[in-house]
Amino acid sequence: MWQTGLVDFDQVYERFRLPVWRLARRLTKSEEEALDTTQEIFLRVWRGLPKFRGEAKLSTWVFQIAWNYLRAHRRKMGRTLQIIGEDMNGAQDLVNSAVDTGPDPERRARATELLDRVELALEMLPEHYRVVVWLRDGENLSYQEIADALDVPIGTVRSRLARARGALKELVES
Amino acid sequence: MDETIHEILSRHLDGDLDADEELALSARLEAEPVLIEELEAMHRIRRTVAALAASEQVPSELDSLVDPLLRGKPDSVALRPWARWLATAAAVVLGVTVIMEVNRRNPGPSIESMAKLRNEGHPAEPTERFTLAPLPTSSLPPEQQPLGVSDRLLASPAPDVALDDPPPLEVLGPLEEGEIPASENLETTAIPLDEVMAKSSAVTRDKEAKKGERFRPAAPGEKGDLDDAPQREDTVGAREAGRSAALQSWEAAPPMGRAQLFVFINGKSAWREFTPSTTCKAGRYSVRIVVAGGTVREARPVGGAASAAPAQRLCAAELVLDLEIDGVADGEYPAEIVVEPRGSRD
Repeated sequence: MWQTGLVDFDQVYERFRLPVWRLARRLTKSEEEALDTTQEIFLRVWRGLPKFRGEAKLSTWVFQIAWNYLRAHRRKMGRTLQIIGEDMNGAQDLVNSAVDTGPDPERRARATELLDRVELALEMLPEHYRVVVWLRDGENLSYQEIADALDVPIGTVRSRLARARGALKELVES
Repeated sequence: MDETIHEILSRHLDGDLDADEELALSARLEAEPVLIEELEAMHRIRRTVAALAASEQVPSELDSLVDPLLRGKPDSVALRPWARWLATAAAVVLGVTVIMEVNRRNPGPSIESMAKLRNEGHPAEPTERFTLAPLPTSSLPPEQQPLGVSDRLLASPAPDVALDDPPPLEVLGPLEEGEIPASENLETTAIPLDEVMAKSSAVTRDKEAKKGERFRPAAPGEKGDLDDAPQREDTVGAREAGRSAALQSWEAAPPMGRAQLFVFINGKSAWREFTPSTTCKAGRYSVRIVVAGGTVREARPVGGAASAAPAQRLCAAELVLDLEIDGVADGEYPAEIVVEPRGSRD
C-alpha cells in the first residue's frame, strides 16, 4: 500500500479509476487518448495527495484535477473548445451549432437505439455542457460538487445543465 | 419553450426545487400538457446517460499504466505520447543502424567465392526451362497509352494520413540569455535525434550520480548562506560580473566536465555540483518549482522571450528535478537557477 498523506493512493485509484476513465473517454476523441490522459490525471493525483487535507470532498478534488488536466490537454493538442456564450437564447442555438459540426448525419440515422443516439448526441455537445451532464447524470455528483470541480458558480451549473439537457433532447429526436 | 421553464424542469428532475417551486410547477404541468411530454423526454435521456455510464468498462491496460504509482514509483510510469513518438523514432534509427551493421559485417559472397561457384556449377541449378510470354505491345507512343492500375495509383495524390504530432513544448525562457550564441537557438537549428537521446541518457546518468550527493542548503558562512541575504546579493553581483568569463570557460571545457547549479528559492539558496549533458549551457533561468515532501517534484521554465532556445530552458529545469531540498515547505515557488562551469565563481 502506498501511503502518501491522509488518503492512500491505491484507495483513491480503486474508487475513481472508473469515473475518471469515463470522464476522459467522454472528453477525448479516442480510447488511446483517454488512456493517456487518465494516466496523467492519476499521476497528478498521486503528486497532489500529500497536500490533500480534506478541505474539499475527495470526489470533488479528483474531478477538479481531471477536468483541469483534460481542458489543458485539449488546448495543448490544438483543439479549440466549443464554448457557447452564457447569454445564448435557448437550447436551439446550441443544437444548431452542434449539428452543424457533428458527425455524419447518416450515422445518426442508423443509430436506432436510444443509447446510441444519446451517446452520439453527447459527443456533439460542446465540452462545457457535456461535462456538466456527465458529472450530474453519469457520475451522480450534486450541483455543488460540480460547481466546485469545475470552479464555476452553482447557478452556472443549473443553467448549463438545463441547456445541455434540452440540447440533448433535441439532438436525440432530430 | 423558454429557457426558464427548461431550467425548472431540469431542476425538478434533480430534486433541486423547493416546496413553493414544486407547487408552481405542478400547477403549470396541469395547465400545459406539452410540458409533461418535455419532462418525460428529459427524464428518459437522463436515465439513458446513467445507463451509458454504467455500461462503461475500464480497459485492463489502465491498471498496468498506473501500476508504478501504486508501487510508489512515479518515475517508472510508462512513456507519455510525446515520448512514445520519440521512442518510435529512436527505434527506427536503431533498426536502420542494426541493419547497416549486419550488412557491414556480412557483406555477402566475395568475388572469389562467386567465381568458384560459377566454375564448379551450382548443385541446385534447375534443368527445366520456362518460356517467357511476350511483353504486351502497343502501337501508341508511351505518352498516349491509357493508364493501367499501377500507373493510376502512382499518378494519384498520396492519401492524407493523420499522424499524432508531439504536443508543442510550453516553455517560455530564461531571464537572460543575451550571451547565448544565436547558433544554439534550437528554433533555427535542428537537433539530431542521437543528440537528443544522448542528452536524455546523460540526464539519467546525472540523476543516478546525484543519489550520492544530495541537494543541500549552503552552510553558514558559505556562499549562498540561507540567512545571509546581503552575501547572496554579493554573490549574484559577482556572478553578473564574471558572467562572460564563465561562459568562455564553459565553452572551452570538455562536454562532460563538472558544473555548478545554484538555486534561489523562496528567499533561500542552495547549490550542488553535477555533470552536465552536452546540451546544457551556462545561464540564468527562471523556473517554477513544485516542492513536495522536501523534494523538487516539478520544474518548468517560465518568463523570458518566446523565441529563446527551448532546449536550454528544459535542460536547466530538468537539473533540479527530484532533488531533495531542506527547509522549504511543500508548495509551488518561483525560483531561479544559475548554471555555471565549476570554479567560475571562485
